[in-house]
Amino acid sequence: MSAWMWPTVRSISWAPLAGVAACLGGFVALVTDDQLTSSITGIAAATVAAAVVAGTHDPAADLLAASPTSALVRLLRRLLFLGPAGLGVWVATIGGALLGLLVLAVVGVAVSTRAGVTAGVVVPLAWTVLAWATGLDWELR
Amino acid sequence: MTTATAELARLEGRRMLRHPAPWVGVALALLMSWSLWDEAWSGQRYGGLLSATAPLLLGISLASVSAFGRELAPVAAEAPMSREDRSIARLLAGLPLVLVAAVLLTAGAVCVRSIGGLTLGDEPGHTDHAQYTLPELVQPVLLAGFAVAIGAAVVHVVRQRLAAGIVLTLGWFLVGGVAWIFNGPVLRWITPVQVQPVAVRIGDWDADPSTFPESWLLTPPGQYQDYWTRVVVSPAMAAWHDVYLVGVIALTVAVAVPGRTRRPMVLAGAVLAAAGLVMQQVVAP
Repeated sequence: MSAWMWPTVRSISWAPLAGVAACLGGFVALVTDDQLTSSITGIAAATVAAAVVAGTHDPAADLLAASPTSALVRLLRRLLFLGPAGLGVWVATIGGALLGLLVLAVVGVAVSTRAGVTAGVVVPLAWTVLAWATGLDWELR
Repeated sequence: MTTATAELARLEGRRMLRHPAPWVGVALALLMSWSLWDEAWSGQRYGGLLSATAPLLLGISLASVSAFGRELAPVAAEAPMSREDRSIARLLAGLPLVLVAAVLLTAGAVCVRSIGGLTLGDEPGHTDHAQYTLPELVQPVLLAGFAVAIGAAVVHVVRQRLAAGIVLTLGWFLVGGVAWIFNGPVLRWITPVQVQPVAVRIGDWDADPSTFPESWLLTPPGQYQDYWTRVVVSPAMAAWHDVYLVGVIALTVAVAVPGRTRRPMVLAGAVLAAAGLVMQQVVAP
């Protein structure tokens, strides 16, 4: 195991993904009908994507700015763990098409690199909440 | 209440009122209500208007997360205000947003009354003049209080604002956005957003509707059920659901506010929530 792996795993903020997994897991346990489960595909994809983006938050970014490991490399290393974890949550709870989840996660990460993690988290959530309120077809399949 | 608590409550209250999330929530709630105006089926607007408040409730919760998130910054033990007092002040600061929700709700109720009411039921049991009952109108105001408390409780437990915001977005969508999933038998007593009317089975698909009392509001067999149902709005069930909500708010506040208030809150909350649950079952149509 490379020396960076364990410190990276420990430094990742797992709380958002754990919270989303608990909510979606509880919902799937309570509502066993696949048709009903599919009615929350949009918000499930958005919250899993937002949780992955939130997990990339690096509280020590300023401290590590001068280190040889660049911010981009640290971000990619975090995503190496967060991506499969988010995918696991998705497959274990809602399942179904991955395109919507991937698009929202990629856009969220892209925004977070420019405008900060909070903005990156807001993008997938805002998209879905806006689609919910306006009745848009939000299923990115 | 000490002067310091009142001052912090005023300060945080102003900050919560300036937070953009509740106002974006108001706009989205109005948008959702507007999109319900052309009903696809009779009674869609009656049930949908209540769950359309969910974006506002989410906005209130996010403002609460923002206020209680400041509690995550370490404060010296010798600080002039204890953590309990600070938490109580922040809870009180959420009251203006509850008031905003109450004002909007009153405006909505007046609007419904001015247009002569909403549709419920299908011919031969149909009305165009259904009005919300008082316990139903009280529910969203209590939900606004719950939104403040749950925002505080989640950020207190999760200890991260972003994580709390994501979990609350998902949670409010589940109980508000797809409220119909949680408004079946039993679950409608437990879920925070209880949507009425309730459909009660009264006859098979081949029953003669003229044999039912004229005062009943009816739904014929169709896409979602193969039998006749009576559409019932139960003010008693809504009232006991309000009692249940008060209990849940007390329990949630107990999670958010540490100190000597926790024990009586848990006790009172558990009693009220249990009484509300049992009595909803008793009076359910």
